[in-house]
Amino acid sequence: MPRIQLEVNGESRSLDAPADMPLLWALRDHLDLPGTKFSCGRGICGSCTVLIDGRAVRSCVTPLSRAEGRRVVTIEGLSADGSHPLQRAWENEQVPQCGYCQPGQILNAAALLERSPSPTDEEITEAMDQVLCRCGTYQRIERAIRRAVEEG
Amino acid sequence: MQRTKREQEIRLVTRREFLRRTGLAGGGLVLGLSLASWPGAREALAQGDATFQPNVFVAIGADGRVRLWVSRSEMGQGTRTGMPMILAEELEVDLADVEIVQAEGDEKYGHQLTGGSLSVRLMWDPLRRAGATARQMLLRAAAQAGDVPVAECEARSGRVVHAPSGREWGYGELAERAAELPLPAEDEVVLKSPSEYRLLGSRAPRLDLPDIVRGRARYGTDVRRPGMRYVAVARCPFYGGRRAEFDPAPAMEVQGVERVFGFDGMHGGYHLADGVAVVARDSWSALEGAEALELQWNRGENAELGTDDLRARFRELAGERGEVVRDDGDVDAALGSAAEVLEATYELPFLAHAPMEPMNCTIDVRQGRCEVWTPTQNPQSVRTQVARILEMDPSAVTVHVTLVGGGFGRRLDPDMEMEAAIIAREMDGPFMVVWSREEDVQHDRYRPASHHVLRGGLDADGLPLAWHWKILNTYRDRFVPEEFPAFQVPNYRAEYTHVPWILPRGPWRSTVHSQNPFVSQSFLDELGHAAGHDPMELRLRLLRERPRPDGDGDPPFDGQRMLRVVEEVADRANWGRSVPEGHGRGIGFQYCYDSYVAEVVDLHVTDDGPKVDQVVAVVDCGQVVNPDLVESQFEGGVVFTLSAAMRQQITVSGGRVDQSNFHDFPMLRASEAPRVQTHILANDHRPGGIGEVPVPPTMPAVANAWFAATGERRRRMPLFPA
Repeated sequence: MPRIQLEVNGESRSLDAPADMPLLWALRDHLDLPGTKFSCGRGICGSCTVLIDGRAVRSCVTPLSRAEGRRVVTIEGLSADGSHPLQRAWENEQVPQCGYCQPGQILNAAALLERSPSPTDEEITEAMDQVLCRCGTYQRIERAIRRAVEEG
Repeated sequence: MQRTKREQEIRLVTRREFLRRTGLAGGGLVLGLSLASWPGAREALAQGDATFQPNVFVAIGADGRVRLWVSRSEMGQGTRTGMPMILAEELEVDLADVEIVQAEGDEKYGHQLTGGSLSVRLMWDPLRRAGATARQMLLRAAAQAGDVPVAECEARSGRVVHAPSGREWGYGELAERAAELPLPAEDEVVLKSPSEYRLLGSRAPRLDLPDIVRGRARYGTDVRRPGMRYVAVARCPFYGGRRAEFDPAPAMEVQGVERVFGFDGMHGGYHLADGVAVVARDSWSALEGAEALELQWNRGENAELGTDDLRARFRELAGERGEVVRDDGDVDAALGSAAEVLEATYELPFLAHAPMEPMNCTIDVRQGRCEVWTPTQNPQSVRTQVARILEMDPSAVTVHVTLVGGGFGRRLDPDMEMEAAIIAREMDGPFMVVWSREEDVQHDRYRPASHHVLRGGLDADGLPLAWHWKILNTYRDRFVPEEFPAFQVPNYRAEYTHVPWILPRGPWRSTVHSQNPFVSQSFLDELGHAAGHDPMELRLRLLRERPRPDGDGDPPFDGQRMLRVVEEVADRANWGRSVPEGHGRGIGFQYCYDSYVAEVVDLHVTDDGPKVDQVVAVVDCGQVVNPDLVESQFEGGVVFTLSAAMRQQITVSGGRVDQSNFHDFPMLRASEAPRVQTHILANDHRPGGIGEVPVPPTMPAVANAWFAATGERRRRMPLFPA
């Protein structure tokens, strides 16, 4: 099996896995990056969201072949120390409950702010509708995004 | 109800014993506290639990750090923050100086089941007493060290200060000396009064959040052990079915798959499905392998059954008399003489839990010992059942409790761990059982389904005169005889019929209260509407003129507290304001888990169905540990409940569950979530529960709001199926 080369969180990583393995499982089981979560496995819920070249992608339905040669960012790589404005806002607003979907929520929000630094309500809604939360933290997610926009 | 005598035993744990019991090195002051506290606990836990005795272990080291063994599972409700807050308040340390150790499943911790909204109620006294006892011992140690009167010493933020001389000592310096002292007498240990609280009632940030936002939080699915394998299971989807011969080749052909074997589950009592286990070097290979198998099953005797058959059975049995569980006055005569009689049938479906973290379990059996890592709400049950299956003494089984990616009652059952133990008989070394979402939805322990027939009669003033409630439920024990409006209707009969069915049952957030308040408070609205009463005015009138007697329950039900939350929600929601066309407002309230709650739901009608705009919630839960945690439970609990009430159901066709993932068991998305305002009525009563409290009032409130907006009464959940 030819080795697959990826750039993950700024580092060059190489792994032994089939090209059709979803990026999610490569991250979790082969690259020791379990921050990205498995929940539905069908791209429905968004818990598995990572960034590929700055865009939000559901890693459970994204084969490794599509990530090869591109810049992958997971929750572990969003900042060195939790200092990304979204991470700070998430803490300040005390967003998470169980927290399982939150890496996906945060990265999905990061992609939104990357393409639209001052998003409208509609843009926030349209983006954040992609990630489900069973604990129902939506209200605080919205507040945290606005706070991150304001506080930078 | 008889009050239990408070038994208290605080033991000073010697260092040797501490090392032996916890396996952790540590000097200083160690307290083990066993306290059968909170008189209501025995009733609440009436499961024949002989080992009920909440236990607290606290250690204060020579370095001044405080370690607390937390015996509750963290599933987002904030217990790993709330528990240390209670301790830290009485112990007089800063929260940042408390180190949390997640307790393994062990009887020495007493009650270790996280459910029933019980954590604060159960641990309130023991944690406070442990903290205050340690504080008193540290004060005495300082007095001894400084040769000063203990009355002149004050404990604050981990230090003891002797004000007259200005001398002070850190707890660390005093811990060893304190450990040599005898335990203080019970009356020497004084708990703080609420006016002295510095931490309790504050919005302390959750201790786990920094890890969560950095992706460092470790759930059950994140456990990694050297050399570990991943096992995906294809379980027999037919309830009552058994496994059959199969060809493992399609799975073995998947890269990374190492072994495939069938196993028997458990039948006849506790249900565990037969399955085929696919062992692989990583999760993806295992899941792909399981999916590749083309499995046939012996479908069993239930293979023709579906939930349509159950509904028909309910309708058939509704014509027969059930077991009378309450009978006040003469409901037949009252219905005969009533000015008006209404009849209605309500139906509630099975529900799955579907937390975002699918079921999973990691297990390692070797050399006569077993270790389990699992996001369980019930670690002692896991220990007992796993030991039984592996034919080991429970002392040989260690159960590690991880962070829980959503519980909602699902993880009170030890089925995933039991299955892992069954599989472990065929395995060498550690492995994780990875559940797909499809397996998770189709092998849940479901909220029971129920069918309700109501007949209500009104008197000449349009108030309820008679109420006949027939409940048919697939579970045996889903009705509280004191359930509203038992005391508000002079002629009242409730009958219950247990209709056993093929799906396994599990506790689902608020259990009995997830079913009956929807029915009773929807039907009350129907009666009120027939009489021309405003729904809020009707409720206030019934609560004022026909209150449920106080002193019923332990702690006692308090009618004034119930009335006050409803009055407050009317005020906060500005009930009575004009409501635009196409908009509607609905109310629900409930007394449950020793708390009092009321909600007003506001929605409006769109082309795509209802949009819930706002929910105003008022709760009286006595003393509040952390108001932010309460508000979170309401914001989230309302969304969780609306998802169920409006969208979700589990149906069965051909002996198997129809639904399989979030496309057909959907939850509300961000844009569909209402703004939730939570108002806490503060007081000094004993804390009540919170985790499940938002669920019961939300269900009738949304149904009532829909009626108010459209004139259409919906009596079957989910109210707006896809």
